Amino acid sequence: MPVIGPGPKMPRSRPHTHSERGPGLADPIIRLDGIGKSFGATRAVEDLSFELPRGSICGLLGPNGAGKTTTIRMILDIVGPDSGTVEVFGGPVTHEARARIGYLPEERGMYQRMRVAEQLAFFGELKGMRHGEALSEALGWLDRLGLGDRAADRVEALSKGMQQKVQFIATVIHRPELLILDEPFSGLDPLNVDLLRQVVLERQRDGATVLFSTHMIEDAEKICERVCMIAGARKVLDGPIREVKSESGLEHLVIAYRGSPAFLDHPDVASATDHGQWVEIGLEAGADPQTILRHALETGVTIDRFELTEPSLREIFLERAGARRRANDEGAEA
Amino acid sequence: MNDSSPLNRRVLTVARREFLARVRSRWFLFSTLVVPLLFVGAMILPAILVDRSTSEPKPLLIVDETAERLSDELIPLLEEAEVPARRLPIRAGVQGPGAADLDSLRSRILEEGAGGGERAAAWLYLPPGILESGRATLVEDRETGPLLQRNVSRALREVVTTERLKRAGLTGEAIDDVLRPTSVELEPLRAEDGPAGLRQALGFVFAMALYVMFIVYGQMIARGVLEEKTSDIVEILVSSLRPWEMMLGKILGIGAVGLSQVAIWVAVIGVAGIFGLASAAPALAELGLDLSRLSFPWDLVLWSLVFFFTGYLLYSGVFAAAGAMVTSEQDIQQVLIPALIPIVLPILVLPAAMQTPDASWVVVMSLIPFFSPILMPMRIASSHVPLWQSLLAVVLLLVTTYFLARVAGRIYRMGILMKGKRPNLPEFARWLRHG
Repeated sequence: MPVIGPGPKMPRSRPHTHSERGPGLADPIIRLDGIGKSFGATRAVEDLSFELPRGSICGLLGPNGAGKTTTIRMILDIVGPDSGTVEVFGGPVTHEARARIGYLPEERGMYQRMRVAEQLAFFGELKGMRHGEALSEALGWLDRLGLGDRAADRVEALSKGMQQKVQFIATVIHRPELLILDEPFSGLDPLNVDLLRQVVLERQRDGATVLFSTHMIEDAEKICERVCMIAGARKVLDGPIREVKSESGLEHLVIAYRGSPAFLDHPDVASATDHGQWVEIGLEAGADPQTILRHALETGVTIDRFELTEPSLREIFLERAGARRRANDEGAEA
Repeated sequence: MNDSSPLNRRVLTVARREFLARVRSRWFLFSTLVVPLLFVGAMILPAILVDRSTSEPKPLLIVDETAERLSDELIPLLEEAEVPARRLPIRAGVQGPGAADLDSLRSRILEEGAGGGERAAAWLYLPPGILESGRATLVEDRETGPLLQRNVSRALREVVTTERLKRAGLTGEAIDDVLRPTSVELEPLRAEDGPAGLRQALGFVFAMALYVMFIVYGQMIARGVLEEKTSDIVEILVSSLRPWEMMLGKILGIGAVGLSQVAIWVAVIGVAGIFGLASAAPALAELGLDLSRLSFPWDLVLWSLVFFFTGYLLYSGVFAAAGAMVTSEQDIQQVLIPALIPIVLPILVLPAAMQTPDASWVVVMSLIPFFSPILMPMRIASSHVPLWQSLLAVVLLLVTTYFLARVAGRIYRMGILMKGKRPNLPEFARWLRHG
């Protein structure tokens, strides 16, 4: 039985320097090599390769049904891949490895009739903690997340938001080295989203590696250093956000304006996404942003903000997913 | 504890949770206390009812048409056997000696014989010429039981025999000498055995208890698995431990609940039984039952425990798989019914099997794994089962359990993460192959 101490001995420094990509990453926590999984005729994941460096915080992005949860289940060896290999901590997912992982499933579930602190102690013990140790950790976490007075209540007596926080504690109670969170913030109010985000970042500063899935790309952009994007069962891109953005080769223009949007109908505008308060414009290759500005002013709109910027993750995702779909269609026609 | 051994810490953690969650429930408190009360009640209630009915026993009404007025002799003898009797001042009007004209007798009884509205246990008709024919008729209104018939016929035989001996010229002393009672004592073959009837009754009680336990705890396992599925706990559990560890932990935990409950029952009923028997000893001794000759049936209890363990292991796998196969409370009955059939079947044949515990069909059934946990303890109680048969039954049970657990483990592994609709047969076959 591996004894898990109060916290894994890991370097406290934040290994920001991991910017290299592709095979040959020095010490990946997770390494997926060409994994695939089908359910009947449905291909959930196809030929997915991916490496997650130690100490990083990575968003697994993609629309609903893209294969995020299946990928996570394969990483945890809940379902086995049809093809390819999964390595966590440099080897297969053993009992010893499981005890070092904290997993927050998308489908939250707890024993409704069990008391909160006992339930947390139970999940801690399953990860190898001793009963007393798990219980005192549980009480500490409950205090911190504002549930200190609910420790002796049955779970069914808690509100849904409170239950979600308890579930979150169950994920981190054993101070795992690898946190895998499936849609961790869905359904929480902004205050609690902030609270849990603080905890996740704090765990990462203490050396933990974090992989979390979300279909809210803006969420990921705020918190992640890396992203892995999946669409239609396949990976469309992955790597550190800065590199993803600079390598996208796209230049974006953000304009906040008052007046008619007619000026967007211009040959240099490749795409325009209305964010409500501003519009994000993708430029055709070789286009000059100043041309757009002049054109806008000529049509009589008032410009409040004009900024040349890197594209948002959403734009890159839409562009890449669209390119993949087109490639697929052409492949199918050929 | 070795990390990959079947009884590793994760399995024990799950087992402890399952145990505590149930032992602390109201259900456990209720069923553990109520069952001994029902049991004690079932033992005491018949005694109370019998007591009340004997306080005002209905009399036996005699229609006496003998020339010798045999009823004068018969009534004191019946009183001795605690059968109150009275002569009815009527005649049946039956023609011919011995041959009772039943229709005529019945109509006389229905017209007048009810004795002025008096309820009777039965009517005894003593025809003329009974000394020659030796035949009388007992007419019952409701079921009177074989005891009355036996007591009446015993007393009547004595009276008729005495009359016949008198007629043959014997005097009182010589008649007493001829009629001096004989008795037959029933003794077990082996000195250590108690009375066989009591042992067989105990075997029946054990078989029924095993049956109830298998059903109650089997369903508890199935519902426990379903609860984890419907509340989405499995998802977090399977990331911490293997499906077989979850299944084994649950089976062990619920099995421990069953054992604790049995232990409490045995203690309560045992203590009550010892006091009850001690206070009933004089009454039982009068019935010819010597308590000092009763010995505790250790072999029966030990074999029952062995079959409880092994049978529970076999059935629990079936029920765990059944629970994993469904996704809603509405569906669970559909899978529980087939799972219950092998448990109910031996109970259906139990009464017949008890009569002939060594008939070949009983021997074969008591060796078949799904039936042996209930039938073998009954046979051990009712007969002298060769040791090899009991051991063979246990070995067959364990081997079947081993293979069944592998299949159940596959179904469980596939089933616990399944949501929505129940698998159809082809899907199900695929699970078994690829699980």
